[in-house]
Amino acid sequence: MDFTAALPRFFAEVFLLLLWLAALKKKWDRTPVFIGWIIVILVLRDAAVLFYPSEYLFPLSNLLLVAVYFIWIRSKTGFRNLDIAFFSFSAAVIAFIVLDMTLLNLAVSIFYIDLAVFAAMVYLALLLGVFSEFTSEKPEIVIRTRFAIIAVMLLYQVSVLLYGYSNQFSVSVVMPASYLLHGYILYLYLGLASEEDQNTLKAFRGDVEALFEFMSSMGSAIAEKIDIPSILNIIVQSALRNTAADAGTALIVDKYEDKLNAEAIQGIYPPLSPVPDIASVNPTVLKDYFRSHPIPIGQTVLGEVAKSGDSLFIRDVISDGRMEFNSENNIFLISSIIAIPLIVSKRLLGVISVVKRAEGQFFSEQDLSRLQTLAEFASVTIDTLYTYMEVLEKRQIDREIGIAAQIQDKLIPKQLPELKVANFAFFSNPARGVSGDYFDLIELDSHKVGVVIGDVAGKGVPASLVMVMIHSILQLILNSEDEAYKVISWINRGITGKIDIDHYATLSFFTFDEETREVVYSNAAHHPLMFYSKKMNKIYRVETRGLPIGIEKNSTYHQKRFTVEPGDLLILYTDGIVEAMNPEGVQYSRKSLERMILQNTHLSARKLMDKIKADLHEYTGREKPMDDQTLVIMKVT
Amino acid sequence: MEIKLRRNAQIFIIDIEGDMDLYQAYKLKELVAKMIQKNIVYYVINLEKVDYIDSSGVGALLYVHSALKKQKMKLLIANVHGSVKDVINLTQLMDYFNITKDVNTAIQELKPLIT
Repeated sequence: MDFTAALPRFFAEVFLLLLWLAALKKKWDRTPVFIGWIIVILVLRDAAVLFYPSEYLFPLSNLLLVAVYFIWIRSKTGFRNLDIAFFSFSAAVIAFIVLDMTLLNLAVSIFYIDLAVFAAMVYLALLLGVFSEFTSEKPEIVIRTRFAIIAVMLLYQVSVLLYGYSNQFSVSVVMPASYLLHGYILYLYLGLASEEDQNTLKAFRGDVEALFEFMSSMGSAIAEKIDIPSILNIIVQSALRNTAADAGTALIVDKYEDKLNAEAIQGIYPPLSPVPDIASVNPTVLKDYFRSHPIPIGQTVLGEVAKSGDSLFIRDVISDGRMEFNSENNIFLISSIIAIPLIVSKRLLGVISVVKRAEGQFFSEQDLSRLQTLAEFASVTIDTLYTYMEVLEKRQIDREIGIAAQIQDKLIPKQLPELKVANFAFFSNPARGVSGDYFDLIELDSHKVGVVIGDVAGKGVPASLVMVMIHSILQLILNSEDEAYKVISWINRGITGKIDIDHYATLSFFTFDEETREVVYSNAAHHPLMFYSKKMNKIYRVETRGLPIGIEKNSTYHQKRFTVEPGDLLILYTDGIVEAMNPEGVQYSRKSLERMILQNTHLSARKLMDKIKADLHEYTGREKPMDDQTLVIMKVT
Repeated sequence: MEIKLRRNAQIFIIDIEGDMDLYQAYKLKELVAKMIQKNIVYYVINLEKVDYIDSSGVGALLYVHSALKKQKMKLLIANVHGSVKDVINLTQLMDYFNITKDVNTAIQELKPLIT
C-alpha cells in the first residue's frame, strides 16, 4: 500500500471535511454528527493503512460505516429489537473470524467478513427502502439520499467482493468515489437547511405583513367610528385572509351569562351542535342560527377553549373524532379548525376561530401561529377600546356639565332681597364646576318670600333642566298658591314623568310672611329645616314626610306652620356641608354646624355665614369638596 | 365601581362594589336595560360592598326600580347599610324600594314568585 495510491482518498477526505465544517454551522438535524463520525473512521482507517497495511482494516471499517449509517437512520425512526439481534449476530460472526485467524487463510476470512458486511448493507438497504416520511422526524434528507446510499454501498461491496482491496481500480476509483456519497449527503443537508431558513424567513415576513395590514385596517376603522362589532368583523376578515379559511367568527363573552355571543361572522360558520331541521335548510338561516344561539362556556370545542383558555387546533377534523357533528360531508362539514382565546391580563374577552370547510383542506402550524399573533393583538385592541369608551363616556358627562354650568349661572339669584324684619345670606360651592344643588329665593307680591333649597340627582344638562323646571313652576304658582305643601305637590306633579327618574330632586321649602312672621315649611326628602329659637336657645329640626320630587306623581306632602321671633335663625343646607370631610375622612357633620350656630347666634346672617365658611374651610383643610355645598341662613331681626 | 353578575336559578344577583356616584352610576342603568331586553324577571341588587352613594347613585337605583316595575319584573335590594342606608333614609326612600336584609333572604322571598 503506497502513499500515491492513498492520495485520492485523502483528497476526498479533505473535501469532506470542508463540507462538514460548513454543514456544522447549520442547525437542521443531527446529520453532521454522524457524518463527522464517518469522517473520523475514514481518516483513521486511511492513516492506519499507511503504517499498518492490514487487509482486515477495510472490511471492519466498512462495517463501522454501515453501523453509523444505520444509527443515523434509526435516530429518525427509533430502534427496533431486530436491529440489536442482527448487529450482535454479525459482530459475533466477524469477531469469531478475526480472532481465530488460524481457522481459514487470510483471503477466505476477508471474503467471509465482506459477506457479513454485505449482509449488513442489505439490511440497511431494506431499512432505507421501507423508510416512511410519515413516521420519521425530518425525513427529507433520508428520502432524498436513500437511493444514492443503497446504490453506492452495494456497488462498492460487490466490487470489493469481486476484485478485493488490492486491485488498482478499486483502490484509486471505487473507494474514493464512495467517499463522495458522504459529501453528497452533506451537500443535500446544506441545501435543506438553507431552504428551511428561507421558509422561516418567508413565514416570518408573511406574519409581519399580516399584522401590519391588520393594524392599518384596524386603525382606519377606529378613526371612523368606535364600534366593537365592526372592529371584530375586521379582525375576523383579517384572520380569514391570513389563514385562507372558509369561515371565521369572533365570539365575545356575555357579561351577564356564561355564554359566548358570535359578534362577528365571516363566511358560513356552521353551528357545532345539532340544530332544528328548520335551521339547516339554507346557509343564510344557518348563519343567523349561529349568531342568535350563544354557546355556553364549556360546551362544544369553542366553549372548551373559553373555559380552558388554551388554543385549539384540529388539523383533520374528520379523523380526529372530537367534532363528530361536523365530520359528515353535509352543510355542517368542518375539515379543519383553529380556535384561540382572546385573553388580556388573565381576563377572557372571547374566542376567535377560523374553519376550513372542504374535505382534504387543512390548516398548517403556520396558520395557527399567525392566528395566535393576530389574536394577541386583537385582545389588546378590544380591551383598549373598552377602556377608551369608558373614558369617552366620562368626557361626555364633563362636556354636558359645562353647558349646565351656564344654565345654572342664570338661575342663581343675583341679589338677595332686603326685608324689614329679616336678612339673608347664602353661599354655594359647586364641587366639579357645576352644581346639583339648587337654591332659589323668590319675592312674592307684597310681604312674603319663598325660600327653596334642593339637590337634583345627577349633573349636567338634564339636572339643570330639572332646576329650570322647578324654578319656572315656582315663579308661576307662588303668587296664587302659597301653601307650602301644595307648592311642593305642584312641583312634583309638574315634573314627575317629564324627567328621567334618576334626575329626581329633594327639596326643602318655606315661605316667610314679613307681617305675621309666620313660617310655613314643607319638605320633599331633603335635610330638615334648622330652626334656632332665641327664646329657648335651642335648635329644632323641622321635618315633614314625603318622597323626593320626580318619583311618583301622587306623592303626598305635608307642612308645618310656626312663627318666629327676632333673633331666631332659619338654616337650610345640602349634603355637601354636613358631609364635607377632613383629611382623615371624617365628616363635618350636622353637630359641628349646630355648634357653630349656637356659638354665634348674636351675629347677622352674613357674619354667621362667614364664620361657618371659615370653620368648614379650616376643617376640610386642603381636601377638595366631594359634593356641592350650599347653605342658606335667614336671620329674623 | 365594579358590577358583577351571578345567578341563582332564574334570579340574577347584581353585586356592586365601590362608590355609586355620578361617574359610575350609569353602568348599573346600562346593565339592567340590557337585562330587561333579555327578559330577565327576577333581580337582586347587592349593596354589601358599597360604602358610598351619592344622589346619582340613588338615582340609578330609582331608575332601575321604576324601569323594572313598568315591566312587572321583580327587584329586591339587599345589604343596605352604613352611609348608603343614611342617604336612602334621608331621601325617604326606605319604604319605596323593596329592601331585604341580605341576598339569601332576597332569594327566599323571590323563589315562591317564580312559576
